[in-house]
Amino acid sequence: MHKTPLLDQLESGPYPSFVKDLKRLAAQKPQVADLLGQLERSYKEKITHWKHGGIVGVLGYGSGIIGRYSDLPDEFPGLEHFHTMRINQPSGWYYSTEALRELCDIWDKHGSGILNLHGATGDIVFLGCRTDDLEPCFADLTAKGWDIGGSGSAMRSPSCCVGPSRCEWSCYDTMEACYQLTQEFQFDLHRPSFPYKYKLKFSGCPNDCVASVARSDMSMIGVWQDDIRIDQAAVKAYAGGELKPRGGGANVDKLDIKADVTDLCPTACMSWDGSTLKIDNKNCNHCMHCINMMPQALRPGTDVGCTILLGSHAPILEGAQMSWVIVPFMRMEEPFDELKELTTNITEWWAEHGKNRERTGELIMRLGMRAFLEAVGLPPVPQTVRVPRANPFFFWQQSDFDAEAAGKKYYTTK
Amino acid sequence: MSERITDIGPPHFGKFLPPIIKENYGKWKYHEIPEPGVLKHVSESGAELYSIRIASPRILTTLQARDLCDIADKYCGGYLRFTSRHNAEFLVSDKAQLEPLKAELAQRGIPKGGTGHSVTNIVHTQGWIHCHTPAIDASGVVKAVMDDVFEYFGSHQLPAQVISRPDA
Repeated sequence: MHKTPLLDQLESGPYPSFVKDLKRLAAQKPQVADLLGQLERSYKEKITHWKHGGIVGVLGYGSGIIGRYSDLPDEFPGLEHFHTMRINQPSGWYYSTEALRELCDIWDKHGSGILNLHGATGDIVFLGCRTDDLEPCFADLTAKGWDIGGSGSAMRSPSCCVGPSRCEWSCYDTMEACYQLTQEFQFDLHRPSFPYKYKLKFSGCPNDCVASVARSDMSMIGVWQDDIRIDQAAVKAYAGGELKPRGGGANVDKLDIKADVTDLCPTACMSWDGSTLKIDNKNCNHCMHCINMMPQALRPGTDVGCTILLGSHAPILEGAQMSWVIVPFMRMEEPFDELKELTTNITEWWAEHGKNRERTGELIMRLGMRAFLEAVGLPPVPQTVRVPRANPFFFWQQSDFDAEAAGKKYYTTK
Repeated sequence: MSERITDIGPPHFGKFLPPIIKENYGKWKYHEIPEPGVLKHVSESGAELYSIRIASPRILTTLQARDLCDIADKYCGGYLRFTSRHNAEFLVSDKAQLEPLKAELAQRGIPKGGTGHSVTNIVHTQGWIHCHTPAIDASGVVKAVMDDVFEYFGSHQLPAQVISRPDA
């Protein structure tokens, strides 16, 4: 074992320590001892000691394995090859212990025994495989029904929130949609042929628990078109303190419905007169705050589907972006053909026009929303305005409201 | 080579759902957070599922993953899940198992939390442990910060939830 005085400090403290865990494994796996030794060197020298390494992979795939070599192989021979394998996770990251142990068995046999549960994209990550062990590891994985995920300029492993499996707010079956889209795009997942990465994430409601709006090129966020369901008796129970705000998850024991809920409504579409909660649903922008605070009184409506947003990505190349709406509402029913077709149309347009390492959102910024919408066959609709309700150049007059009430249409769709 | 298996994708999640979730899929009615780190989901059918959310450093060895499996076998009928914030969740359908599970987690030094108005686990990148570009480490920084704000992981004292995640 290498001496690791700096890392040893990370064994203290109440939060679970990866150093403590790795040291346990280092007793059995010399490469793990080397990993701790190299990490200690990085802490001392304040620089990484990994090299990105050439092309490694399994036969027929261009994706899912990331080559990694130490730049100090003489000092840390266990790290000479230390490749990453991404294994496509099951929807919602559910496991039977039998399946999780099976993965551990395969990884103990072929690699370092170090995992990430999970990577940020969602995959199960195996850290530290020698080149010669990649193919046998892959064979054992597929024999048990597992497959490699995406990497590089490919479709990445889609991921989703728990959806209807354990959440009352899910407006569509995120788990099944994620599974089916993953299956649909297996070729694009394993054989990088895009300008850069393309990520899909599925959230069942606008709480967006997988942060799809920030972390995926294309996010499917569940929404309802009808009214929020209200149980007025339960609202009164919250007002009276019999029910705890946020199911007990808040910092206060009793909800002040005006101060904590209606005054915080971003579109001011709610009111509370002490006995009845009223919601002007056509002005609701589905922020979820009132529902989150009173989960036993309010629920999303029942006319449900998803909003599709496009374009978010990390800082490279143009600076970070968040996604914006391209389809205000789509029904989400098996076999999700409309979504599969739209995804294909978008990736084909992007593959044809995108520069190397240009994400979809950046291509839209460069060529314009009009070119994008025409190419993929989507109608321009007001919901695609990036910052709605904030146009400083339009001054609404009473005559505009009167005209609208009398039937004037300010926009039309195809 | 004819028997080589490729492009099968991940296994269907249906294989890994505990019976209570299969029976109540799409039928959940509301949830409560009876204490920090514990979620209670109630179905239209009246069924109740408790989830205990625990801290994880995301980097886990197979030894630690097997320990989590042992706990899930003992209290949860052999099922568990992980969250998008890299926490793990034990899914308890038998309420009588809740207190013994909490006691075992405490005894093993595995903290529960990350629910409601807390600071939940910090999503992070590989850093110096496995990446070729980082200017700083990630896992070590996260461990140090989570130690520092630990009282907020296992409590609901804050005005809202705090979620940090530097990635895309």
